[in-house]
Amino acid sequence: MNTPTCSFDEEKLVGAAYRDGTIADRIRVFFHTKRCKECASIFREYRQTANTFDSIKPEKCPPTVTDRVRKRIGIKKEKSFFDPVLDFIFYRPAYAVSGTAVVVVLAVFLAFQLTDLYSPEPDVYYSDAEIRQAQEDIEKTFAMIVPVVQNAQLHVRDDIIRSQLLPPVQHSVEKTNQLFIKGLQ
Amino acid sequence: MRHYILLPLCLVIFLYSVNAQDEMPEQSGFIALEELSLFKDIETSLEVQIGESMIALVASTAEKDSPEFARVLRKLKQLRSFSFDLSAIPRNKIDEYLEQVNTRLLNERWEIVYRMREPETTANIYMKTVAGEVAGMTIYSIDRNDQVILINIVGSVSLEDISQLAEQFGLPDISP
Repeated sequence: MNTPTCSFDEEKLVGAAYRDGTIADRIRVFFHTKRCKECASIFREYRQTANTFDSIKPEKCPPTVTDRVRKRIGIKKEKSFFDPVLDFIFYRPAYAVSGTAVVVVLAVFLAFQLTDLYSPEPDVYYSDAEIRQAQEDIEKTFAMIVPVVQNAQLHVRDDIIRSQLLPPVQHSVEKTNQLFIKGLQ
Repeated sequence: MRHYILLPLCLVIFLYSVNAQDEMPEQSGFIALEELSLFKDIETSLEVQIGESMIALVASTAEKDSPEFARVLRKLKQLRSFSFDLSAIPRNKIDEYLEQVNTRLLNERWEIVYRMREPETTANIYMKTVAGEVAGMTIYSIDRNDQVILINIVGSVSLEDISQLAEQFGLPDISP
């Protein structure tokens, strides 16, 4: 110690106050300060200063600054899962807008699909009179359709198949048969 | 920047078309009959518009007495018919009108399956098929008194199905 009365190593005293020295040095300082009031006073001052430093919270450095520092000193940043996503958003705003639009479109589409899927069927009640009326209307409509459809089928069966399609087919079959018969004879 | 706008735009168009295709099979047999009624000042004498739920109810009511009719009804999704009197309209206008109806149906990919040209009645039957399955049938007929009937059936009903209902409506059964 650089005081007239004590020759204790000041570096060890400061180290112990800042909780930096070896265990053995810190024990030595501990016992010495019990005996030497002057050194104890100095130790307390340094310890107080150390405590004040400890109480100061470190300012968080912006990631862009740390990135630049890492780049400058040649340390590669450890990539996290979200980094490519963040890069995508912050470095390519056009991609980000496009991507967001896609997500919004998909979300709206899915929302509509789910609404359709889970919306309950409206409860529709019909009275007996309404059902009877509907049955009458359906029967009336079918009464108009059936004759037309029947006519169509008769026309196809009699006029087209029997009159137009069958005679040439029959003629061809007869000709073929005659050829076979001649061949057999 | 323009390229990045194209991506969501293409997605919107794709999703819209996918959604439209989902709805297609049920709606492809539909035709807006009221749009075919070109003579706006002529009132319809019969107007029937029955949806799927009501048809299902009628089918279950008819099940006991006429199971064949109920079976045909179960194939339907919608039944609409309009009837109106065109006797006040000159014949050439009516022919023009029927031609317009025919063109409209053919343009909407309806297939004409039968044309009836008789002294008493003129009728056309159109059908629409989607993926090999009947999606709907449209019939128009006009009698000698110029009574026009337009009928649109949405559903997979065939001519045979309807023909089998002849007895139900007091007509002779022509099935072979």
